[in-house]
Amino acid sequence: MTLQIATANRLTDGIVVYLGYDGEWTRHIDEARVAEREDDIADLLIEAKAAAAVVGAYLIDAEIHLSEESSRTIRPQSYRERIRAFGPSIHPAFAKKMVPEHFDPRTDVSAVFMNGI
Amino acid sequence: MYKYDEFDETFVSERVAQFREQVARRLSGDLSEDEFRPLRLMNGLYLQLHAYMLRVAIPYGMLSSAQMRKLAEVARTYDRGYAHFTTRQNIQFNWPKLEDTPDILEELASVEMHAIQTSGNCIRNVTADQYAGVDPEEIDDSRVWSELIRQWSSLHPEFTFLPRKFKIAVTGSPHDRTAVKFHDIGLIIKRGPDGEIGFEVLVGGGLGRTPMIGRTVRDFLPKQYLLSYLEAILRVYNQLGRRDNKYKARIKILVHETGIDALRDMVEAEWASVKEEGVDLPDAEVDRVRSYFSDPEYLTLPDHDHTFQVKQFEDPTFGRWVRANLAPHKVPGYVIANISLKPIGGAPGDATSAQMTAIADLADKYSLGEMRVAHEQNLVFADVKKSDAYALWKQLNEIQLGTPNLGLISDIIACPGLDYCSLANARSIPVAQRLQRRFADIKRQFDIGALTLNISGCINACGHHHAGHIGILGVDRRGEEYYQLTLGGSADENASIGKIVGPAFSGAEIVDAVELVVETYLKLRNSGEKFIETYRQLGETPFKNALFGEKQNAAA
Repeated sequence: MTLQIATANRLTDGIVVYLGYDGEWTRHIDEARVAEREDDIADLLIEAKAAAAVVGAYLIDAEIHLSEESSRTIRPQSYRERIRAFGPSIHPAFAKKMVPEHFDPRTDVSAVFMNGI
Repeated sequence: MYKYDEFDETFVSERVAQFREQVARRLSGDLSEDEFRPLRLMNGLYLQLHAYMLRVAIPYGMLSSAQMRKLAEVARTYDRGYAHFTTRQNIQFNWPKLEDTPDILEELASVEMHAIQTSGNCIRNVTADQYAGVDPEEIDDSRVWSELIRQWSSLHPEFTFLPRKFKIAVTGSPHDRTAVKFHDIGLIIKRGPDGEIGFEVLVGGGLGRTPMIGRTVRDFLPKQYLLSYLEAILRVYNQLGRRDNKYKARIKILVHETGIDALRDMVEAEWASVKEEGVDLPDAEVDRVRSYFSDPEYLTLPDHDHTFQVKQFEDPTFGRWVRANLAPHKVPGYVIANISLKPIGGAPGDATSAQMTAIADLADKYSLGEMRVAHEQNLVFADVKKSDAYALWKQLNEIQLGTPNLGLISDIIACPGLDYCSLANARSIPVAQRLQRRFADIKRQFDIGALTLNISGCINACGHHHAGHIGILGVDRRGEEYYQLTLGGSADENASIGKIVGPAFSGAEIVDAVELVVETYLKLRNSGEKFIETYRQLGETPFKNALFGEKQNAAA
């Protein structure tokens, strides 16, 4: 079974959010509550759908990455969800993290146009 | 330019107040999202990938400097300092907050703008020729008729819930700049047998998953019957359009399934009765609307301007800008100046609030305080004195908008794609940027010549990929972004639909593939032949062979 997290857009401003362990919605994907067992996944979806503070809640497949310096990071499996989580890929100023390698904004995309003036 | 009368003004401000109430009820939880969604969409507010998106109507692309300044202020105050001009002459804000939207709409209403009918299954913002009123070849001003259509279609009670969205374009020139044949209804202004003005009426054009070229439903409609005839078409469509299937609900499918001759009979029969209902306007009302678009007081100038000529030699980049971006004006001593919103490596159609403010100032200084948005996602100053052109260009360069690439390969049409859009399958803008970089050399671009390159991030085709000489369609293939190439499309009066060539390319391959197509054209073209002419002459085979190899191509 793949790992699942719940995501939605925040009602007030449409910003992408994830359901955290404390029942609050967070902008930080790494704080998302991860469900693996079938029961937990079902509960996660029910709770996400019931929330009034967000719009259009749904579950996505995710992977947990463990690294030495930080405890763990979460990466959505689909590139659409990675762009949702970390993008847009074209404005480094608004992107939170990097997106798939063939469009790496550090090398491929002008950082000048939007920031320059 | 058209000015709101008291009815327009009252209506728009009442609508803002109404939406303010609706937003408050949504935020308090009194309205569910299912209840609220149609209300917000009626006011142009979408929910996209990262945030809400507000699409603001720019009727037939006309903007005053005061409106542009206000749009810049909205971008600065309520958004993230930039906005996006669309392929339907509108503007989109990518990051507005729901709670701020009523304030934004109130700000817009103060300069006679709104977001009504920029979404939903209604008659959308009418588009027109960006050279309207100043093109020397023009038969009649498309803005006059567009404004009349705007008034007739705004909140038309019968056409608020059509089977699907409905787009109308009007062109008044023999050379079409509006993609008129790719609209639900295309209106081509022409002269009748006695020199009187009227319309060729096309119906059933469109892009999207089933691209079709509009068919002529009436070869010549005398101008006084425009509204009754439109009403007749819309009535037939409203009754017979496929409401059972979203993908078959556009009028193009009705035309295709019914046949243009049968549809014409139905429209004409309907028109016979509509004509008697008093829908058509008296001449006095048409004249009143026309008076808003009457010529400004042009100066009497010599057509030859010494500085204008000399500067083109002294400064070759200016010379290129003159050749690519300027067009002839009907009044001697004036030119039409196109401002490319496609700087190399920029996001096509995007402008920062600083750029927008500067453009408004330049419009005041050099183009009588007005400008237009082109469906190619560029801006137009319609009334620039030749003697001012160099100064204008210098100042455009200061805000990075002096790129001399209009109509060249880096003047790419691109939808927002998966960077913003929740419908997209793949990104468009980064592909556009990489292509612009690959073809950044302006001399090479001029050598390649007139070429339209259009990119859509999904089959809905907001980036008009089928209508590009070279088109790119983003697809999702097993969880990866892939790009399908189409060749041979054209959006002008000789409209054609691009054909898919071979299997899709990965994101890493697509730029090389486009370059190979261009190199193949350069090798094969006869002297002076444009890309589309070479393609039409030789067909797809040499391009397919170059892309996929002769053997594989023959085997396939």
